[in-house]
Amino acid sequence: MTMNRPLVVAGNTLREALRERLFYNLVVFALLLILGSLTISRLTLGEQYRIIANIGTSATQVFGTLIAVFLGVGIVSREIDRRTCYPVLARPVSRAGFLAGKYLGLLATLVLNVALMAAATALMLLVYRGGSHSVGVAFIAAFGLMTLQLAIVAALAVLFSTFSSPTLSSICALAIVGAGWLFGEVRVFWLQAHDVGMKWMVQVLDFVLPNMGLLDLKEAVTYGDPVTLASVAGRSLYGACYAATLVALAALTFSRRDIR
Amino acid sequence: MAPPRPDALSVHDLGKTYRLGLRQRVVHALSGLELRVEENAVYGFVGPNGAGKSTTIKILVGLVAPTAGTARIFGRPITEPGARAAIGYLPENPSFQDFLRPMEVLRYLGRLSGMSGAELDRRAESLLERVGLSHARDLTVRKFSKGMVQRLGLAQALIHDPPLLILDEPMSGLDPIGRRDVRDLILELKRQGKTIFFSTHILSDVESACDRVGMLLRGRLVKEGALHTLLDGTIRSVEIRCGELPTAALGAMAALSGKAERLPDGCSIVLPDVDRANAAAARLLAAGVRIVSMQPSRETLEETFVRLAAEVEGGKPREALLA
Repeated sequence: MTMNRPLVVAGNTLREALRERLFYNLVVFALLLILGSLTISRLTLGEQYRIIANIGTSATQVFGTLIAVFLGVGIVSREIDRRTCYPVLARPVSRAGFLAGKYLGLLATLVLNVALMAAATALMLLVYRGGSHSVGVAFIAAFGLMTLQLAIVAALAVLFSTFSSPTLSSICALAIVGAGWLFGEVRVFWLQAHDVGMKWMVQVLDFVLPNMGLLDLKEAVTYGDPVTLASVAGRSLYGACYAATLVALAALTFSRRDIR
Repeated sequence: MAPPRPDALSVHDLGKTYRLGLRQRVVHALSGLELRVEENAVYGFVGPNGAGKSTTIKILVGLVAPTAGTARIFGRPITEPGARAAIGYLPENPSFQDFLRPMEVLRYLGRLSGMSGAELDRRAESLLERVGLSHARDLTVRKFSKGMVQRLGLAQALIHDPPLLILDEPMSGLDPIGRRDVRDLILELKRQGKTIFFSTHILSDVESACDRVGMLLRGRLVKEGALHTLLDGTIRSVEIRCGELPTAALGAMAALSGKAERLPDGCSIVLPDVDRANAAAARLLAAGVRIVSMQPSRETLEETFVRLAAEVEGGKPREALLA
């Protein structure tokens, strides 16, 4: 199969997402929140920059996660339920190629979404500070890694949707993402403590759950902490490998499924 | 000497078993199917709902994996995605992404079949014209009627000009004009050298378009062959239509045939064989009655199908048909 076919599927998936009302509702709501951050920040004293940066990155993260989950869980199951994938899969398109195309289309939607949010946040910071120094490496790296966070969320949603209903897939994907965030808070304590029971289970969870905290540079943007390129590259590699593994699993599951 | 050309479609010992529910109840949707469809044939795959027609077709186009047997498209195993390049597939009750316009659907699916550029656009335009959808080119699919979606389904199956068409209930959802259009299209495609394999449970569709027929019941092929070999060609009765008869004469004919009745424009007498029909006609002519027509009646495909179903089920055709 040529590489071209997954890209054709991806293009159609992006077009589908851009015609979804849900996508626009979430994007508009997040943009309003970011644009409103200037007003909200005036309620605090001396912390305006941090408030704007925090609202911008958090809104991108939360709404991006919702878009990734709600579009992701329907991306395969809806095609099967509505039988729209029948004429596609009856062509010389492999199941893995189809799934990769659907995922790439979703990813392109998320990249567009993050780029839009990042631009809105940068605009608010520029309006507040009146200079460009507030949008530096940390800012770009934070939004870049956030895209990888969303890539993982989307891959989880797509993986569950290859064998489960959209509702159950949403719950499972959100639960694992939530666990990935929460586990980051306690893993250091659990892994260092000597008297923790079932330490092996903690180690397994540490390996299996997505380390969302690793891909989170919100604080670096908010507090102006330094960010090294090597650190960003390492984190990016982790995020990309994790998402790619989930997509490969999803492709494997989907390839074995009867479409009836 | 050149090697013989492979069959358009060949199926050997094909089977599909589903395991359903928590208790993994075993359902044999298809068992030991053997099929050969030669190039440029129109093959009708008939059977009642639930007989396994759609399962067979879904296996052929790669949507469902068989649990037994093999199938080949022009000699290539169906497990190779590349083999599907030769297929144009119309699903039963087709469905397309409803935010797309018909040209967008055809461009999308055409690209997936390896087409591009001006050639694709030209082909899509001419197919929209051919299936009667050029007036709806600016509408999105969500505004289409069922018949329009079916026509779009036919266009997408033809977009890459495949040598083999696999059509699952192609006349479903169409009005009489639409059905005639599809029948004409199938015959036109045959003239162009295409091979057509289509499923239906409406037997008149088969009689009007097919060279060969396979009858499927409960996941098994119970009869297969050229249409004329499947039909029992013997004359089962002869109907004489004639002018008005006096009541006494009509009674005499009823005694001879068992069925004679008055019609608004004359009388109808049904006789069980040709000899008795000839004798009755001679008596009518001798009595000065005008004979309008003599029509022999042979077994229809539908009657053949019901008879076979009865044979399979030991005299209970309804159970076989409702399996």
